[in-house]
Amino acid sequence: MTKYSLYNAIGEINEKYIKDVLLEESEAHQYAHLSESSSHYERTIVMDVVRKKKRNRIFIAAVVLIMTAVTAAVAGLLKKDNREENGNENPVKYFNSRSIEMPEMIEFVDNGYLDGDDLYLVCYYDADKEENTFEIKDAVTGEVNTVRTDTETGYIFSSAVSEKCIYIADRDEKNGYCIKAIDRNTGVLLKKNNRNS
Amino acid sequence: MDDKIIIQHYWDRDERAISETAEKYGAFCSGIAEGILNNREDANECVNDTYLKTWNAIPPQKPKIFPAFIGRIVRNLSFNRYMMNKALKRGGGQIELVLDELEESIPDNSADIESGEAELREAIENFVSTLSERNRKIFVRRYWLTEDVRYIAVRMNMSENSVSAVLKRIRKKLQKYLTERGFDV
Repeated sequence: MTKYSLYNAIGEINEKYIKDVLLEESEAHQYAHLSESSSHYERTIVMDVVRKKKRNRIFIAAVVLIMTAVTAAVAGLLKKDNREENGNENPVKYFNSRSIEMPEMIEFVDNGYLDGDDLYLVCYYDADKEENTFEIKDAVTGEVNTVRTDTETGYIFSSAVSEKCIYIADRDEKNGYCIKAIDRNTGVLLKKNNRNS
Repeated sequence: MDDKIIIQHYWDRDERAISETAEKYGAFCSGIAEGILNNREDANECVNDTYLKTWNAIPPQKPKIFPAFIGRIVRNLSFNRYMMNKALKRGGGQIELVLDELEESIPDNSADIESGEAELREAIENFVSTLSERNRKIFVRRYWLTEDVRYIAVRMNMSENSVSAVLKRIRKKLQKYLTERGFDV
């Protein structure tokens, strides 16, 4: 047996085993201005781009879903708390981060107090997840909440809820990333912390 | 265009069959040929010969999986050209690496089994059927389509190192499989 006979024998395997690969390739070729002269290397580069585009589309869809879910969940929470404690409905619009008025702007500090003496903010970059992670610690209770944003888009990755506040990592059109601390009971923005991206 | 229509064009002896084959599968065929030959001119010639051979083969043949059918033709033509180039001492592309890798799978002390090619083909086919879907795809991409590892990594969403490791395990498994079936006698 030689490597040549082995290579030839592999070439004769049943077509059903290569069908799946060929189907995948037909998809790849749709993108490839893969002209007839494209080499594997060129196709690799093209596929890199295709894959990134696909990933971006998935990412954007995921972000939209997460934002919707977070908004709905926290809005529900606000409503419930407000009903329980105040007996009336809390305007959900307060929670809508895009419509909140900004009562106060403070300089962003990577590590520092966010809200007087109560809330201490720690920000670090998670290289594995490619996310900015903000830890908000309540200096009184010791409770730590974590909020993450995607570094590229600044979109919300998560929100966190403490007894006192709801924290949202968000993107501010003018000022870059921000963390918003919203009073759970009233829906009023207590603090917005910015950093230029 | 649907493959069935292209094949029907061949049966009707309609020359659009070739232009449509070239349009739909030209890049695919070139990829295989270039992977083997590492030479664009030679690859183009093989691809053109593939169209001619396909034209001559259909009818009477009626391939079920058309890209696999022409893929096999271009693979064989390119490999023959490679062997010719090798005799003329002209360099090959991925095929050199692929063949060296496959050599690892040849059982020790294996005799010349030219007379048992059918058995070898059957053994290889059975072996491929034992692989997981992912490993089978990687195997087919590397040793049937002669794709380079980097491209496979992209297509399979894996790192190059992972693909290489998988291929190495497959080759080892293939060697064991062939040894157990008496190909080392």
